Amino acid sequence: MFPYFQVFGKTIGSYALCAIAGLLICGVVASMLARRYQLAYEDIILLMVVIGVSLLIGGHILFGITNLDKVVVLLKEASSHSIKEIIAYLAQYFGGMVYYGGFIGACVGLFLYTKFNKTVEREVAFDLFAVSIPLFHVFGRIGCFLSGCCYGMESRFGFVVHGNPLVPELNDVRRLPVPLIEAACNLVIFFVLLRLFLKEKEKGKMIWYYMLIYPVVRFVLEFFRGDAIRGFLFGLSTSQWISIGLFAVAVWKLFFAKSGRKKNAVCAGMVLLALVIAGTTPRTVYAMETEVQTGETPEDTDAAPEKSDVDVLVTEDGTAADTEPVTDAAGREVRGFNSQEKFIIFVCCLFSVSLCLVIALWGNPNDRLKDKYKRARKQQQLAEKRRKEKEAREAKRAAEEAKYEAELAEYEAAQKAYEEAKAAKKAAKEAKKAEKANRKSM
Amino acid sequence: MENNGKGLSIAGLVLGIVAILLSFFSFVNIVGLICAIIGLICASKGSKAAKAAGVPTGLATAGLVLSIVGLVFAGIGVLACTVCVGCLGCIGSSAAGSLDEISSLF
Repeated sequence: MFPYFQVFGKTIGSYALCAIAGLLICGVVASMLARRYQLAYEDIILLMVVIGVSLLIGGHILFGITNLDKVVVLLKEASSHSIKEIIAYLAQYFGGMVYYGGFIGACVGLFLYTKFNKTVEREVAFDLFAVSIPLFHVFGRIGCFLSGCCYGMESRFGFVVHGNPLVPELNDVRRLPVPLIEAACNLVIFFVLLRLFLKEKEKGKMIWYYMLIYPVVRFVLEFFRGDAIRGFLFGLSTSQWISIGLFAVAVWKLFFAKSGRKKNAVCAGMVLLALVIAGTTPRTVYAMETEVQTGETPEDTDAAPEKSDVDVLVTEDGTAADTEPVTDAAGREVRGFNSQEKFIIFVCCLFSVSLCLVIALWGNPNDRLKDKYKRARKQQQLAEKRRKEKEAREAKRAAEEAKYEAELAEYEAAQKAYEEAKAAKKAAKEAKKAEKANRKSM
Repeated sequence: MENNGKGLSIAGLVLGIVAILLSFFSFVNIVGLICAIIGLICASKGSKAAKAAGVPTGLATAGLVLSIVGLVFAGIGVLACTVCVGCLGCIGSSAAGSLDEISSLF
């Protein structure tokens, strides 16, 4: 769309601008969140540097790994190339970035940083990272949309781009705005994680929550990418396999690492199975069938609109509405979603949204259970404490009453003794007086 | 000798200035990015040490700001989308993988 623009004669890439804006905003947000743990801003800056550097390294390494076959061929034929050529090839093979590589790299970097630098707790560092990374990703995906990369499949709904010099096949075709959808999903994930972060009891679990939610979104959206055949193994792309792995790790850490309940294991297995079944969507079948019938990739057939392999597949589906060819402004044929795809989109979106909402509103089910038991135990302890206090109060009152009675009895006895002494004294005085009167009369 | 972070702060300041200067030149701005990152680390450490020693942190703050500005400028120059890298690769070498192969993995 706008891959680059000119400022004072210098060309500035919109992706780079978005990435830098995301990095700065993430830094500000992380600093604000870190106030809760009384972290100095210098520590936050160091943390951001570690995350940024390891993210860059990890992203490039995974990109290089996906080009490993080419790297091996290059190294085998190294003698036939000059050093300049080899560097140029390596720059190309390692030049791109894979998001998941960056994410895993940043996790490793944070792990090592918190291992050797004890000023920041590992849990705190990972929490801050997990809350910030979706926000950064929002800007990254907006940058992708502006650059024209990571585009979606052809669709009746979406945008038509004209005159993108970097991606010619993107031009004049209505495509689903997958980067924008992913950016919106990441924004939702950010707010969900922010809410969880502000809950005291969820400390140290943010990264697992992120790994639980984002892979689902990515897994689903990968099917609607239109930039190439995304099948890598059993019809799933590299990112989808990594999504499954991360999701499985998150489920294990959140639900089974401590409790080990079989029921939860079965539920998680079913969820994973559902995700894998979703992997065999008609999109993958469409790609495979097209390849078998024509020996070309679906993108190649997209480039030749007059021969429609799409029609053959759609006709086999038997959906009358989908059999009508739809063309965009440029006269190219646009393939819409068939009913099965629409159903899968609906189910997957519903699942993602439900998962987000459930986690945001109630947190980890195991924690809720623990909280319930904790609350019950607390109430029991409180009742016991109150009972003991009441008993102590009663005992104290009884002791005070006994003491009062004893004092009263003592007082009465003393008063009686005083009265007796007084009476005796009076009697003695009277006797003395009588004796004196007798003596006087004699 | 007392560590008040002065050396680190000066290093951060110098590296920040170097990063800003290098970020304006194509192909060299990767060096600017590395300088900015190292400058940021030095300035942060210097600021922390200065705070601990109870001395003013102005030098470290200046280094920090310049390093961040250098990081932004160099980052804008260095960071490019996968597509751009793929296109450059395609222009540079027709024998290498196509744009689709590269951009599909991002």
